[in-house]
Amino acid sequence: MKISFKNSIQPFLNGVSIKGEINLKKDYINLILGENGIGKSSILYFLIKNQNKFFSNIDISVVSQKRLETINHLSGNGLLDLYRKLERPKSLSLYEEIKDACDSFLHMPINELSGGQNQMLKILFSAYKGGDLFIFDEPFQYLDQNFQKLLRNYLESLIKDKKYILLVEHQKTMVNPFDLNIISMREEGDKIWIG
Amino acid sequence: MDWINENIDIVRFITSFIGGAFLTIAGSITQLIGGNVLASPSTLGMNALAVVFVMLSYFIPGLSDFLGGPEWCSLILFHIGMMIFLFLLKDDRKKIMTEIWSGEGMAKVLIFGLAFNLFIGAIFSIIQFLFMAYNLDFPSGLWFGSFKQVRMDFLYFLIPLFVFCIILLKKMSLHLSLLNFGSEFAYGLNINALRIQKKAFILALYLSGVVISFFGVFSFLGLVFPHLLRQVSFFKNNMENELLFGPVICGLFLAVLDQLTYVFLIEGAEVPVGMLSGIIGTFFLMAHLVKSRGSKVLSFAK
Repeated sequence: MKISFKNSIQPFLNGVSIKGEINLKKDYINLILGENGIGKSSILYFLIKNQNKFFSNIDISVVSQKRLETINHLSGNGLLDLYRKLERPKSLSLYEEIKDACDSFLHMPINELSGGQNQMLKILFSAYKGGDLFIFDEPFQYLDQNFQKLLRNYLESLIKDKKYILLVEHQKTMVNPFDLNIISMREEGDKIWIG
Repeated sequence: MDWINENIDIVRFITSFIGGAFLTIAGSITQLIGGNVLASPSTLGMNALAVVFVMLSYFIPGLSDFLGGPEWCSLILFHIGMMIFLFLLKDDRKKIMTEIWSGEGMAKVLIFGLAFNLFIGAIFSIIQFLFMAYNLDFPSGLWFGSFKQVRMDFLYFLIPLFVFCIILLKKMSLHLSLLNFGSEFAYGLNINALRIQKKAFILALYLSGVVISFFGVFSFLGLVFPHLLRQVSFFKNNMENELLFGPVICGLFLAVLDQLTYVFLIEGAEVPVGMLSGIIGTFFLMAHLVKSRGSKVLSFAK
């Protein structure tokens, strides 16, 4: 699957235009690499916002970098119930295992979760929602060793299920065990090249 | 039954109920779309904007008589102002809205809104001073909301608007509830967060304008009502309940409070319910902040 950029991403990168294309491969983790501040997360956010344009007929599932927060006291269970009203969840094979690991805090208000618990809830939600393309922005942040292992199993199961994975991760060692399709971003003058 | 007939003004009860419901809707949705528990029609400057049109309706000679009374005059001016506001923002609307709903943008809007409130308050005080200096009668009831002047014709406008709001909220409630987790999360579910935020923002601004045009300012009620609702488990775990049933509960609360001020006069004078609700509202907000040690509010206010 190819994603081409045609100068359409300026508003998200401080007026800098972007050229190139992303060639997404199944059986791999498609890893975006680049210097800090070059706009890796901005590109993911742009793709998510414009998913109808870039991924027609492809269902995407997102684990964003931003912490989940609410203005009320909704719990993780409440979030899953709420999503069920919007769409029928596709619950992936590893969903139950992740849910068991999150069981101790699913009843707690989301705002009271620790960084790791909040991160794991986003991953659980992604497994609950399901999809064809899985976008992860720094998915290993805040996770302890047990949760890191669980996330690696989850990524492995996605690859096995022939799903596309697009990922940004600064700790490259976390995804070293996988076959990686590197998508590099670099700055050249007033342009950023991706591919 | 006779006691009810003698002591309860049904028209006033219904209008105050709708007024309370509108303030709650405006408060809940501004907090929800801003992802900030300090957002409200008063802190975002919506109330001050509506007060500008109320002042114009009172102080432009002959205008309110021509337009059917100060309430209708304020409302018409508010409609015109809103249309100009939306037209002026036409080209930059998307950019401005995107900036507003970013975390930092909302904090800036809150500070701007509070400053705008103070600015309008200062102008209001100057006008009040000039009225006193020239020994003119100043419509002092403007500053505190009240349902003393309600008329049957208000209901012909307010009831259909209330029904429309409930239908609209019913339609939007699921998407708004998912927007509660942030716009990035909503976009991930293929929900057009910006479009919903815009619609909801306009609805909140409009409802605040309607309440202030007809009844005056009810400071902080839009901020406090949603906080009070979230003390009860039926509301605190369920945003849809807050959006659909919260306005009914808070509307009833304000209607009952207003009837109490109507029945129990002090030296023959009626206390404006806006004055009373301001005291109760700010007291509950302070108590809530002390109870929760302000942690959640402050983390959002950053």
